[in-house]
Amino acid sequence: MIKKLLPISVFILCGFGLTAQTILGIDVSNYQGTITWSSVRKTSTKLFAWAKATEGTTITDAQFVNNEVNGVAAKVYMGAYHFSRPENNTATAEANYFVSVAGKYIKAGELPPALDLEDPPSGTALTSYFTSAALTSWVQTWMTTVQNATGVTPVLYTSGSIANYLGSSLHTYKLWTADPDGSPTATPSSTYLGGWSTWTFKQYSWTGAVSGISGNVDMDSFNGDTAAFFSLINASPPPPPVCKTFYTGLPYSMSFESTWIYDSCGQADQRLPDKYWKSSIGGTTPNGDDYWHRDDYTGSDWSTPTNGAYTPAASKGTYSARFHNDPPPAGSTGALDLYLNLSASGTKTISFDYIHNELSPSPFAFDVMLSTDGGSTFPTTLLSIPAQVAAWTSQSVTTTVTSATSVIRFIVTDKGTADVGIDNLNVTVGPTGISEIDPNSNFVVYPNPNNGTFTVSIGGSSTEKMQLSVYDALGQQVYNAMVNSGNTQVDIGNKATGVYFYRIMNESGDKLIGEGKLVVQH
Amino acid sequence: MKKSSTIVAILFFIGLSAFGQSKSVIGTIKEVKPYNDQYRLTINDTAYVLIVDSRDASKKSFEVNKKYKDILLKNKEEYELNPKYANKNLRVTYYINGKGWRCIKTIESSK
Repeated sequence: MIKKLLPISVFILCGFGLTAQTILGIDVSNYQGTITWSSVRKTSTKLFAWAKATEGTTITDAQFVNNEVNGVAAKVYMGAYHFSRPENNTATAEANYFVSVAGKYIKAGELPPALDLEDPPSGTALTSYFTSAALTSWVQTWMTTVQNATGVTPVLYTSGSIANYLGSSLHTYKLWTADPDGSPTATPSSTYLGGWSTWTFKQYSWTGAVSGISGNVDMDSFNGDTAAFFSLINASPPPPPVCKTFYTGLPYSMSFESTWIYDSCGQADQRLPDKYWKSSIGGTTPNGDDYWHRDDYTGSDWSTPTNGAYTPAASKGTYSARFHNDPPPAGSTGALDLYLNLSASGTKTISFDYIHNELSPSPFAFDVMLSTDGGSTFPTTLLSIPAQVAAWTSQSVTTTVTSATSVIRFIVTDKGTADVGIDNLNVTVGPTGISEIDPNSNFVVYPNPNNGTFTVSIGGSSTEKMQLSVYDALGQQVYNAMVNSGNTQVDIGNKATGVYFYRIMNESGDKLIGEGKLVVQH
Repeated sequence: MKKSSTIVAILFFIGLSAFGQSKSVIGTIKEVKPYNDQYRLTINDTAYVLIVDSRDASKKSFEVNKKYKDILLKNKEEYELNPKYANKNLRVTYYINGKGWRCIKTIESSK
């Protein structure tokens, strides 16, 4: 049973702490044809599903067994429901027929069985066949018969008009209300609840789209937290997932071009560029739109993913990392955290490209923050970027921390309509073991960025030779020469586009004249 | 000529892709009945469901194109067909929802 929850994002334990999410599900029948349950589970946040088992006393849904078996195999919490035809049959006969078909699938640890009570396909209102007392009695008999046969108390699915018609003796059963208002969390009005004081499940849409299912599908939500859900299905809540943490060494580069991965906390969507990242949302009103994804993401986290997209979609290559907000309520926040081992001495440079083409959205904040305790605290803000950066712009910041459990957090709070993008991330460590820069030296490197050909201009009139070296992001030396004061032309045009570091030492190599970063762009 | 044919073909394909799940029927509305908190309209002996806009707290509007939002009028507690549409030939587009219902999407006059 525990295995069922591990791949799902009921709770997010990383970053901001515990964030509860609505428990979502679907209900299906032969109208949905053959369902690919592995896709339902893997690419959506649907935790549970009811499958139609029977109708009346003669009809078994053609897909019921397939749905039950394959749904359970895909680690979806499954339940069976019965489409009742009270106008045609006795409650006992229908209950017995349902149990004969679905009984073996009804057990602790799965959804309880459900009685679907609605107007018959003929269009004649069910309430026109029965008095309120008679219909209440019919339902009571069905519920009792199924409960006695299976040991599990059924729930009742019905519309508002029928719920209002039923007697209060049924209010002890949990209500699954049909209120397709599109909101999984909005409380149904009393019109839908009848005399029930609350709802347990809500069928909030009849036109849902779920990967693995062709056509429209009914969408449902559970009114409660994880503990309540597992209490209802009589199973022990699984322990929270253990989030494995991987720290990358330096240098580290991320182009965001590859397909993003599911994270080690078992979250349900592709939220991480690679295993060295974690993703979390927070603030006062977090929702799925606050998760970072690759910019072309179209999964269930994001609503209306075309809204807020920026152009071009990447500063380099095809894709970037994107914070989508459509818009979230004020105060919601999304963080993307990179775990790094920064224990090597020397200056670490974090460079990336950034875009957010929106003038003065409110509120807005984009910060690059640093943790040296594995993400428990982020006491240092390395960089804060103003709201509007209309085009892709290079950003860079350095740090000299030497923590092996460092975390760089890219965090956005945004209520505007344009999304935030980052791309072409590089974290490098500069040359180490050098003495202080000679305060009397003066030099300039230009142009920067360049195409691989640039000038190093060293001031002063000293005749002493100096060592000029250039290193790539991996620390490999790509150029070395002895130079004099004045201008020296350097050509590394045969090297790839990227970030490089230059260092100027005195002839004996024990004094640093100068160092810096340069960018080669072809 | 060749180019325009290609463009027409592409547009046709796009149209099919975008609206592939919509079907249509032409006929007159013969009967209106409440049905599971919605309304069931019978056209050519087949039931089509007019979905109540449940986001409208008053439950007085339907999920249909604006011009035909008055397709039903309230009479006492229930809605009935607006007389101005009685015996009128209408073109109704619909989709199949998750419950297998034919749900009305748009209504237009069909002359």
